Amino acid sequence: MSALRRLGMLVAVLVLSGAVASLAWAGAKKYEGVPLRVMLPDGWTEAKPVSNLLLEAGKILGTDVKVSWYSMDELHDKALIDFTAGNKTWDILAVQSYNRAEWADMGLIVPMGKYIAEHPDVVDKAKLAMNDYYDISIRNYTHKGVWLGAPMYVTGVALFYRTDLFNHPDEKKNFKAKYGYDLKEPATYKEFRDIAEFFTRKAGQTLAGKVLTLDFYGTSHSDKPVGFLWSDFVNYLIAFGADDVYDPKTMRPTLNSPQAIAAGNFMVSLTPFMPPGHLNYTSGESTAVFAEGSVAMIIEYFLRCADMVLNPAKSKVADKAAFTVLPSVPGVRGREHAAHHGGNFLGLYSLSGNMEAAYKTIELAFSKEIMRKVYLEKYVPYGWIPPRPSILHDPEIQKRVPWMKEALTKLMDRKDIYYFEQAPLPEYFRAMDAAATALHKAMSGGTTVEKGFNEAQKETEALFKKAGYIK
Amino acid sequence: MVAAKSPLKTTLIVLVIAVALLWTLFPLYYLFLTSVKSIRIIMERPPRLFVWPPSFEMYERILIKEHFYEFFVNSFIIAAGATLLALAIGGLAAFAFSHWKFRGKEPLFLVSMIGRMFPPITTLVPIYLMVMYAGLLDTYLALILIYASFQVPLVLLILRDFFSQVPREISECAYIDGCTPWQVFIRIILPLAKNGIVAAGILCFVEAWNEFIFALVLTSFKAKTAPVVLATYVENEGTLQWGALAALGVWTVMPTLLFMLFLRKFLIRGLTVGALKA
Amino acid sequence: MSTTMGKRAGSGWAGVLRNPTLMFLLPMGLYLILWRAIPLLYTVFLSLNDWNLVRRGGARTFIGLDNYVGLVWDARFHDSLWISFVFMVVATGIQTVLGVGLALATDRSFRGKSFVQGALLLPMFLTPVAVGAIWYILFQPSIGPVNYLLSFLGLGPYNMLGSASTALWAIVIADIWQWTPFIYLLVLSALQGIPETIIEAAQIDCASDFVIVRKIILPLIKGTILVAALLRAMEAFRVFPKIYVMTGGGPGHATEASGILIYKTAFRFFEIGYASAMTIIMLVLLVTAYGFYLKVVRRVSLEY
Repeated sequence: MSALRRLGMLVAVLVLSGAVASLAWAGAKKYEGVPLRVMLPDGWTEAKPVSNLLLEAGKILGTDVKVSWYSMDELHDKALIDFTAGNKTWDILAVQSYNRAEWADMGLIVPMGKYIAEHPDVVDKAKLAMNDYYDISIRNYTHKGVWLGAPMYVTGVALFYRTDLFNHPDEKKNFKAKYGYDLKEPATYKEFRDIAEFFTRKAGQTLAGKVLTLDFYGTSHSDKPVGFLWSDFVNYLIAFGADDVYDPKTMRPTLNSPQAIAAGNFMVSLTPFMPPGHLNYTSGESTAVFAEGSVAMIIEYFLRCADMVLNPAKSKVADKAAFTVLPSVPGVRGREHAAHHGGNFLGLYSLSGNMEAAYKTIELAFSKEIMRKVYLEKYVPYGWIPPRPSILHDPEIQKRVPWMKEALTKLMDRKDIYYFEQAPLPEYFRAMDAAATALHKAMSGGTTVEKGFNEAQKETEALFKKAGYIK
Repeated sequence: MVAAKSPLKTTLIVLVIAVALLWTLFPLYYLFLTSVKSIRIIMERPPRLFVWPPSFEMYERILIKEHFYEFFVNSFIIAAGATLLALAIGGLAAFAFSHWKFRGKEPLFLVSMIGRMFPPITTLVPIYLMVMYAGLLDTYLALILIYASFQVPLVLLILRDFFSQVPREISECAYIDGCTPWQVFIRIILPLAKNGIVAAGILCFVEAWNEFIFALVLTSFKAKTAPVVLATYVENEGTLQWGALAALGVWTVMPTLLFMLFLRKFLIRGLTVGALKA
Repeated sequence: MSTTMGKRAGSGWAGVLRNPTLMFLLPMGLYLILWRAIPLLYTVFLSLNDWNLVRRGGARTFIGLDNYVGLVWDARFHDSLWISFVFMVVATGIQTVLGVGLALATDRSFRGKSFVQGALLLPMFLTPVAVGAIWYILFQPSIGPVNYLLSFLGLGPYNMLGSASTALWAIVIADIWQWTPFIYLLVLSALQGIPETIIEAAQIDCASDFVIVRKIILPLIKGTILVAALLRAMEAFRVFPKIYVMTGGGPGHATEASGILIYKTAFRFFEIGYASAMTIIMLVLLVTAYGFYLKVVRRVSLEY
């Protein structure tokens, strides 16, 4: 079809829709017919629920919500290029937590807090309900004191484990004999390591009374460089008392601090207990390996594990899996049960021409009523965890989601878990790249953690100098 | 074509072909297998080499629920358009390069090849700006024009070689008979180099079909292509999407398989006709 | 008639329209200038700038050749060039040999010929991303069929993608699988263009098949083989999606080819100027290499 013909068709459609719109204007809502273009990451568990929230809100407000699905990498690259070139196509974007500093500083998104402060007449405080979010959700997505956007789910990493193994009398007996204490949910990382070592068995050995035909592993990680590896490592890093790349007080990188190296060595020490493919696993694969039944424990994002592991349609261990908080490193204060929260939030694209409509749609979509409605209709019991405490504590929801109460007690409502978010620095990815590559090399036997982290430290110092953070 | 004579030779050839087929088809078979394994068994050890009953939920999801056929059609239109454009432009130039001498021929050729020597990614931003100011974002036309520009050097290189294999005597006879270069090109060179043109066309089509980064950046809704959608399923962050990815992969290859089978027959017929004319 | 079409057809636009050479070359020239040359010039311009999208609000400053100076000392960049080069040579070399061999083997009449020829072409139709994904699965140590089948021979399991010494070769294997059909197609098309009369004449002279191949067929298609290999080599140097999906550039930097590094530099580190300079250097190196290569091709392909 020639460009001219297309242009002609486009004009015809515009005129027609203009006519229809103006006819309906008389009783129409304020945002009727405003097109909102949304970019969301396909494959992230929370993305489809949020798209449904937006569609539902769009139905009520009359905005025409159109979602284009991309992988997170694609989304990031595309948003970057579109913004750099000045393209106004988008209105709403999903922003990954560790990109938040880059995007905010680049001006790619308009922080929602800023928008709210500048347009108080547009805001419906009841729908926005900022007090009905967990503290961690607000804190995580706040950058330089300004709230960035609406959280798409809640709850960070948790430890999942196989109850049939932990409760098996033979295993309990042997464990006590070998390590001198009872087999239970690990409270420290040393215990975690012991349990991982204990349950790593070769084919031919016995596990829980049965002879294994295939190797079995104590734990698994997603160690694909860069982002997957670092997201897994960061739990240990913080628990051991190190900083996530740099010390915010002095702005100096601390990649080769004793705590960081201890954390690195700890992670490397776990490698014999993991499936050999872990060096290239994405978190989906790692979780799937647990769900398939080859691994005893796994530390993963709770939402995904709940979806992939507790769901009998997707998992072979649904009836034998339980979850709990992460272990701690004794002696490191203020970092108990350190758990990475992660996740995405919905942001307002700064070049959008329909920002008010976009904001109102998000506000309505994330309102308690809509969130509850969509959750109950489509995503109980496994597909999502809405970020509002009032919904999670709702008795009807708790009836429909059997594990919700336990999750609230053990994870969301607990006050002594140190939830953290990755460092809000635009250069974060680059620093992470240097450190994660070094760690990956150490894990595949190519170097030691000390050497690797020292090199990464040098690289990152140079990076920070160039960025003007240190002299 | 050479007919095999000895049984030893025949066995050897059969063996080679059998190994080649096995090597080529096993990964494709496994791709298909992955697309019909339900998520419960996809990470199973040891891997199943046969699945019964096959689960077609991935196909249902992609084709019906997420109407992938739209993107498929987009890819086809864009790839076909780019191929035709590249063949036209490149073919004309290849004729000049293969039949005539002129000043600056070699350097010009080298310069034309430069277009294929660096990753297209790096000219992403300027091309994006050009397309945006022309108002062609998210249109077929933009991608057709850009892909054709990638393919022209490819077409040039291939067709120059095929055109120069057409015996000189034929075109010289035509000139003596008073034909213009244009007529020589259309009536003589093109038919005789048909298999080269088809080969170049297939390669152009495949490349344009599979191009990813420009499609990602320059489209958003209306002109989104198959590879962009396929890449979303490489994301294994929240869930494992191999099944969906494999289904898309199979779906991409199958039509081209049918297409190839028919085109092959046409190709063989066309060749024998061409050879006879010589 | 003379094969020299000089600029004798007159001057000005009328002259252009009457000059066949220009008429045939002009579309290509204009087209490439618009879509390739101008963007390339812009990239050259960018390479002379320090442009980081995030730092200092995305400001761009002119810094002359500083990026290039930095690259001279950048070991990671040198490594990536070397990896790309090795990948290109090994992958293209093996593909060419296999492609030519297969073309020779299947260019004969037998039952199921169309099917076989068509089937052998399939891999190159698969999106590179899907190729990376399927070979990633195939090579998986615990759930991959490759290791599963090897276990029957008592070998393995090998974690090919997780070890720095074997990761690149695993990707080379995937590349060979995907792109041998490319060479196969071109060589096969060339073979089919060889008139039967030549072959039959040689056969009547009682030449053995082997001699026919060596002395007659190969020289005739040498040009095509070199063209195919050149095209594949240019592509192989720029390899990206397969590596990205299969290893992400790891372990360490073992499979970080230039394409990956440039992508990372531009899209993850946001250093547009630096990435542009990398591209230009890569381009200069390749052009020099191919300049030599093309001279050889030209001499050979005009040799009959």
